[in-house]
Amino acid sequence: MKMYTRDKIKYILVLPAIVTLLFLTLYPTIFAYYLSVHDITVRTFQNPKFVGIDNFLQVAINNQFWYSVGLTTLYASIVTPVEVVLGLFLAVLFNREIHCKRVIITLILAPLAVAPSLIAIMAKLMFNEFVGLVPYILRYFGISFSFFRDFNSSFSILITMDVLQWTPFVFIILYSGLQALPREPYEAALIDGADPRRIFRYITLPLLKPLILLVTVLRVMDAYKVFEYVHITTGGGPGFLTTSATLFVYRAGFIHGNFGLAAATTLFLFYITVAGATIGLRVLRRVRII
Amino acid sequence: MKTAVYAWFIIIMATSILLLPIFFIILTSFKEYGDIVSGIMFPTNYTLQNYENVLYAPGFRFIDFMFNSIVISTVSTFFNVLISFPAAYSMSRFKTGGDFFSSYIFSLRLLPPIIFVVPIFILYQHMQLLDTHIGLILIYTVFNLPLSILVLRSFINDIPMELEEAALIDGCSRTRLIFSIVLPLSLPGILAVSILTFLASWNEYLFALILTLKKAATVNVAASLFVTAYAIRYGEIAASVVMSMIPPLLFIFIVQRNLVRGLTLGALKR
Repeated sequence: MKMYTRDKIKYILVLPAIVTLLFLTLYPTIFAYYLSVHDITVRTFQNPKFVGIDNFLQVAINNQFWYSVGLTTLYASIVTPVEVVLGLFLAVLFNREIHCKRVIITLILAPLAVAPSLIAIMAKLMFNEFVGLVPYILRYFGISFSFFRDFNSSFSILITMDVLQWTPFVFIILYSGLQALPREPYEAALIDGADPRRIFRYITLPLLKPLILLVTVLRVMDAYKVFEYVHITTGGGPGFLTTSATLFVYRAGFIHGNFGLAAATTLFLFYITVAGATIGLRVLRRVRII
Repeated sequence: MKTAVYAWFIIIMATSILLLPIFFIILTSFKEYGDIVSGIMFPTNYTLQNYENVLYAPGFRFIDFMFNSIVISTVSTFFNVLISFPAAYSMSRFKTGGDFFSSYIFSLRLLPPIIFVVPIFILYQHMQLLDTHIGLILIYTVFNLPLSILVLRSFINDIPMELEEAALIDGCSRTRLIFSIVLPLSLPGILAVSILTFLASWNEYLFALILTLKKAATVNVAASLFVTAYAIRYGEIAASVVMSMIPPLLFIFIVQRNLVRGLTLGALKR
């Protein structure tokens, strides 16, 4: 091992990664601080005025911002458990000899290959009041319902999309993990005559625990990135009710053109998600994933 | 035997539920306008009119958008592997940067990209990178690095070190060792990373929406442009959605087995 550590090459090898990562992450973060203390809108773009913590105060007292953060949290806490349980269930189900397994797995992975924005367009079409399939079926039963005018139905559509699209992601990670599990504990358990339920509870679950935690952390944090579904399918509506934190930032910056306010919002969001990421990292470090 | 039937039932159910939206959009793309507005499930008449309209619509250069997507996704996947593989090797073998560095990299995977959007937009405006291929390629290369490095590092961790030690003792240089021993052995991992990066770049929406306008717009932003530009032409929207799904689906079908082998994430062997 000693002769390894003196190699200079190890720094050369990581250098491109460090440079590009810093360029596109550290620089924007610093620049966001600069933007956030200035009144910088489309009109005042050329000579921004220093306004101190004005933008931060505006965000801090903005009910809509905190509502959007709360809504995103609710969203994450619903989709994550559903996806992890369904994905784990499917992974265990597929962990056996099945005819045409490769074809079926490819089919199951298909939603991953479809862009979230395209799924969002499909949902918008399927639930469209006038031409959508679902309202058409409901009309057949004499029910007339416009999905995007009601918070509960709009929010459920968002959740359904997320589950349909990301359960395959959980599935493929857990399934890959199951395929790589050692055979010995299973053989021993079979010889001892353990039933499938106990094998799952006492062998599969503990062995898979690191990966289950990994997908949980990934899904929670990814749920905070939700943008396409909200932006395309519900447009944040009805009214403001399904606006996610990301859509809030997008609107502040690119619809209202207030970059200073958007940057301040961004920094708030940064601290909130960093807190989440830190917990996630700690969990993953404990199970030695990273 | 009984459990097998049970399992099959669930598998078919789950697969069809997961595929329902895709199936619906494919059906819609073959419907005539009358069938779409009446909202029925199966078309009375199958037609290719929608595809024709998308491909030859004046002012809507679908082929160009498709080309943009292919160029941007392929090139950024290439650069992503080019940068992440050496870094992953170094981090796996020399523990370069230690825990701090790997935490930093992984935290970038967890943070929402919207955080970086506003500063990057303004930076790009200054650097004249808005609406260019290079702009998006740069973004996709970098934003997919954390996951690529993580997956590749754990893959390289699983390659026994003895091979490399033997080669070093025999006087093999470090560069040659990486190219002729580690690289071929890491191929499943590299393929898995390529799939993930390609899909993520192909399907990315936020940056493509904000950083491109017309010249470098990707197909998936273009398909959603159809929604706002032609509010009720769902047939054409469906057709463009179907066409833009084909390349990633083909890709995932070809390399699916490598995905399963490359994604073990090394979490289970320690």
